[in-house]
Amino acid sequence: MGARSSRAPGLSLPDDAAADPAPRLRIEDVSVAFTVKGRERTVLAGVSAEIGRGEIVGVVGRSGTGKSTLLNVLGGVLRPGSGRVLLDGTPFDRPVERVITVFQDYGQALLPWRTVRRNVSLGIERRLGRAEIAERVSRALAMTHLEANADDLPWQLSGGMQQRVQIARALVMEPDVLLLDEPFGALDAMTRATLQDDLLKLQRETGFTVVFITHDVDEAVYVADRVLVLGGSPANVVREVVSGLPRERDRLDTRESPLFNAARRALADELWGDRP
Amino acid sequence: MRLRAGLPGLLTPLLILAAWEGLIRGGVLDFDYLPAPSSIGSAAAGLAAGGELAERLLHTTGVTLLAWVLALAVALAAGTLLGLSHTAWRWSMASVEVLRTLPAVALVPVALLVLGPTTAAEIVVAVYAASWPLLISVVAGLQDTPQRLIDVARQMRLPRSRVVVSLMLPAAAPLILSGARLALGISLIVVVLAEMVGNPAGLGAAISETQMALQPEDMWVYVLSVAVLGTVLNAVLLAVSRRALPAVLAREAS
Repeated sequence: MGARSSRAPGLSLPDDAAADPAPRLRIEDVSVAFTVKGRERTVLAGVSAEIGRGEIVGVVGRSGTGKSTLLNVLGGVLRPGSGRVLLDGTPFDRPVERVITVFQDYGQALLPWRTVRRNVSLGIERRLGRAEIAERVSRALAMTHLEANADDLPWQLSGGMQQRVQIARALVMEPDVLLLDEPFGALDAMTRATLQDDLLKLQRETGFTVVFITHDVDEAVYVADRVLVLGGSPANVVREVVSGLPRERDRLDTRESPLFNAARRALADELWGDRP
Repeated sequence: MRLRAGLPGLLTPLLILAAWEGLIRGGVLDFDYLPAPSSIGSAAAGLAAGGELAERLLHTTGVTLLAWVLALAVALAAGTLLGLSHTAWRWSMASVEVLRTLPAVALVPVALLVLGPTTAAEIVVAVYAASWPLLISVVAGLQDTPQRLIDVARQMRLPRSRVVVSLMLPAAAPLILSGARLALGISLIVVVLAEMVGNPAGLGAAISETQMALQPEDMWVYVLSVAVLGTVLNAVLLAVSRRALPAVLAREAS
């Protein structure tokens, strides 16, 4: 393990990511502490990062490093002890409709008594006109290939389809930022690969910003433009890896490209390099 | 859980009735006031033809259902308040625990004394008794809303009223439904008891009147009518809720 550069060696940064004057999300010196059994434990200590418009950022780190805590702060459901997060330059510390989270446990996050269509409309019903709701829902269902299942109940669908319902439910809100907490972790390898491509395609179509947590180094490199490694206790961003892969990615070719392998190696070194 | 009893399930009561009939005809069971099922059957035919059975049945069924519907309304309103407000729950938890363990049957004479031997007295005690299991299930259901659903509602910034109506109450529906079935059974028990000791109407009064008049055949007809009524009410409630909540119940079963 050599010096901790902020970039993987030999890789270049897409020029729009850091140069953008108003980043979609800015994390400023965020610290979070929890009190467990009367003792205070600091989970995040002074985390700072910027995430550009339309950027796809992966977050990796060993179990218990505070990845989900960071995502909760970005989602506005957890107020940091110190520091702040800004959306387009405006600080926020409560949920905003422009930032929507997709959870790993789709089985718990969907409403089992509602059809796919009515699950998807949850966030916009009674907020928009009837026609606009119907239009947005059918567009989200089309984008997630769920039109044929619109009137099914969640438990009648496979795990991958249920997760697509959750993504469709986020899409109807037309968010600027999609936060995904290990979105594909509970799915089999084939389904996971398909959903990774679906997510990339959706991002191209709508341009939203993506921050996702994953345990899977390959997934992090394949989906993200930039991967943040959380490490240490309390945790901080210990490394940032930019793959430099073009956005048009292919499940087979991309995984053989030298850029993919270099980024993958850099992440693996960072995560497991000091293990015997 | 399967609703259909099937052929073996139907055969068992028939065998019991046949054994009962045989033991009495053979003189093994010899009590002055224990009639054979065949005599109870002919008594039932007589009471049904005279219209008396229908009138009694109608009264008890109506009062039981009315009390149950009122209990449902009371428990949903009070349970929603107690399930959502920590303050309200803290202030009333002890009282709820004491009151709900007090057997409602002990209050039947009290209500009859206060309100007189009337149908109103029947209804009041039955509503009181049937409300408790419902109240407890509404409160428990609301307090145990899956955290993930609350997270989903928060990030979408759904208003509180929508969270209660669209997420919390539907999520609690299976629990509330089992409370409702308990409540219906309790309502019937209390109504019959109130009729036996007070209000001279319905199946309960018929049971105690035929007992006094030493008419065991007629008495058995009314006793068995209560049993059939309880079974039918429960089956109807199950069938209705299966139609109303297919998704929730299907998930429970899967």
